[in-house]
Amino acid sequence: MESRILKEYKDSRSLQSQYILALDPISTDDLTHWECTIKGPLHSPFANHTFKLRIDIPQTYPLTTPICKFEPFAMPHPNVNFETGEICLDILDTNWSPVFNIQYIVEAIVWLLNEPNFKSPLNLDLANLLRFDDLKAYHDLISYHLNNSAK
Amino acid sequence: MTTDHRRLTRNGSLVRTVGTGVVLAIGAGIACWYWWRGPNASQETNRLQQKEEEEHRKEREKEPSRCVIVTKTLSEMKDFDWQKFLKDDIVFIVVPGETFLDPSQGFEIDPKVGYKIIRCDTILGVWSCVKSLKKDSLIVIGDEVEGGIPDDISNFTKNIRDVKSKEELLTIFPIPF
Amino acid sequence: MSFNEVKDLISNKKIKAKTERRILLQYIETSKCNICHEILSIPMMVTPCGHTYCYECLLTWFKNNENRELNCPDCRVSIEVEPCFNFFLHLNLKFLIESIYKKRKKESKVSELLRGREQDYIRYHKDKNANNMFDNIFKNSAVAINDVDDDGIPRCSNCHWELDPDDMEEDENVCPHCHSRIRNIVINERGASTRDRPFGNRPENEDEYSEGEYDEIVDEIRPEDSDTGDDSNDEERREEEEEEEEEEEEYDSDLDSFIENDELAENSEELANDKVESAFYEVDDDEEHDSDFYEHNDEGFVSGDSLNEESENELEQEPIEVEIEEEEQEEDDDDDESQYNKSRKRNKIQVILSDDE
Repeated sequence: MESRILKEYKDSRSLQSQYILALDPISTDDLTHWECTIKGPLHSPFANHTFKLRIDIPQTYPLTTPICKFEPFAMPHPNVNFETGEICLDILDTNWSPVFNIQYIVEAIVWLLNEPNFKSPLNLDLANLLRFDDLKAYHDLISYHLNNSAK
Repeated sequence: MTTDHRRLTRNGSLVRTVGTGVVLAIGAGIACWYWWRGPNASQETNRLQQKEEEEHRKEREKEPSRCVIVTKTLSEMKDFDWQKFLKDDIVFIVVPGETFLDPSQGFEIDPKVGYKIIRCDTILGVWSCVKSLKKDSLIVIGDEVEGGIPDDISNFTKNIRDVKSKEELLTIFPIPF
Repeated sequence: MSFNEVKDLISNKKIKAKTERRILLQYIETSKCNICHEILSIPMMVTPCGHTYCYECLLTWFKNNENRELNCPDCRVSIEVEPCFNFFLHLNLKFLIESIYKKRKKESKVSELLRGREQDYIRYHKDKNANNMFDNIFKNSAVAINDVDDDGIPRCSNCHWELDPDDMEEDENVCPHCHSRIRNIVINERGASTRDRPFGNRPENEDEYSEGEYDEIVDEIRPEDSDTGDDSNDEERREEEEEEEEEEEEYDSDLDSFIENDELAENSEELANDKVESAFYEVDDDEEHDSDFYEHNDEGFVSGDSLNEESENELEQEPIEVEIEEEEQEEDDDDDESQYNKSRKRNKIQVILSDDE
């Protein structure tokens, strides 16, 4: 499936997206490791912050799902592991389909920042804030973590 | 015969002098190497030790991070210069229904530290924040919090200080001179 | 515009070259396999959605997620029927590629492409002739079918075993009885009947409750021994309550046998009236009986009626045995069905008591 990833690489050169600031393989010799910079969506607590994603393409791609993580730093999101940056997203797990491509995954992650799902939490405290419908605290706590780790 | 013998003895003395020379040179070399190496190595370990000590000292000196729950008493101390403490490693969590350094009441907060105030709509949200922040110590007037302090909070913060009076609070936050 | 008219337009060169190119581009774009992003090679169409993929790509996708349900990569619809070779599309694409590369057949890239497509075709025909399409995945798997005769419960099409969607392993879609892969997602259509759920359908936020918690809450709220049965009215019940208080001792000692007999009489009536219900008595109580039944009935699904005949006969011949079964059921308080029957039974007994007075 090498040719498929090569096609995606060519497509990514002409990529234009509001929230995807950069989407590049770490080295052009090896297209199995990618790095991506995304912008927090407007009107979400993540606005005005940028985030780094690391995408590892398995040999069996596109039949199996790429491994996608936030660069390990304190990432406050109900569906992201705070320490490891692991992401809980259905299309990256059981709902993977070979018609998805890297760009689609990244867009889904941007969407996840805006639309957290407290039913499958990796960060229990933030998920609980959503469960209690305490949006004020949810916004303030995320903004605390983002500003605190930026230092 | 004699010439041969002489040549031999000459050769023998030559071998001897060269041999001792080489041995001396090697010995001196080794000594030099040790002399040069010895103090250098100890210097390196010294430097490492110093670094470690410094880090330890820093850690010891470092102000323990604090998490303050803003209830009625704190909220009513409007003249108190809370902004001074915002520079520390501190978080103020405001319980529902109270105000604290509210911009709508004319308070101007430096945006660089303003994020250290978390305002909550629910009391359950307050405890979720405390659990998420995992600060070294928690300062709270337990009697003023609806439902009291949950038992499991002690798993998330090392030191819980349940303040009983305003006077006790002032010992924690000394008035700046 | 008829077919011949369109044909005329094209043969008389009345369509602009620009339009022709656009049509061609659109055609090639839609002939792309969404899995390998190449021009479809051996296009296989998935039903019921009609999305089409290369034979090889689809096969590797099916084999990749072993023991999972089979779904369309594009729209996720369950694939219950073996995908079908799209002969028409195959011919068109063959013609298209051959005409585009007509004069470049000797270039290594082109010959590689053509050879690859030929090999795919040979592989497909080999599988087809050997009756080994899709590695026999469709022959060795089953589908879950909702049994309309039996409250809509899903059953394995291979062994008729009852499938419970909640019992399915998270990453495995396999029949627990015959271990065959289930091609579609198991859905319980029992929610349609509201009788065994006092509050109708489950609430939307049911996920918030832990497993079984919702049922517990419902059981708690459910009024105990209230008039679940619909055939006793308020007055009667009040009278009965008084009777019960007065004659409690007598009720315990003397009437015990009387009640039991009446219970049986009532019960057989009930069985005759409500056949589906009686099916539950048998199926739920005796698992051995259950599996025996399936072995003898390979065709079609279990229907309440067929079971009922058996159970009725048993009732007439050996009343004592049924008695025991009844008691066992009463002990089993967790079972919604038995609770329902219990309270109903009680009400009926009470009615009889008052009639005697």
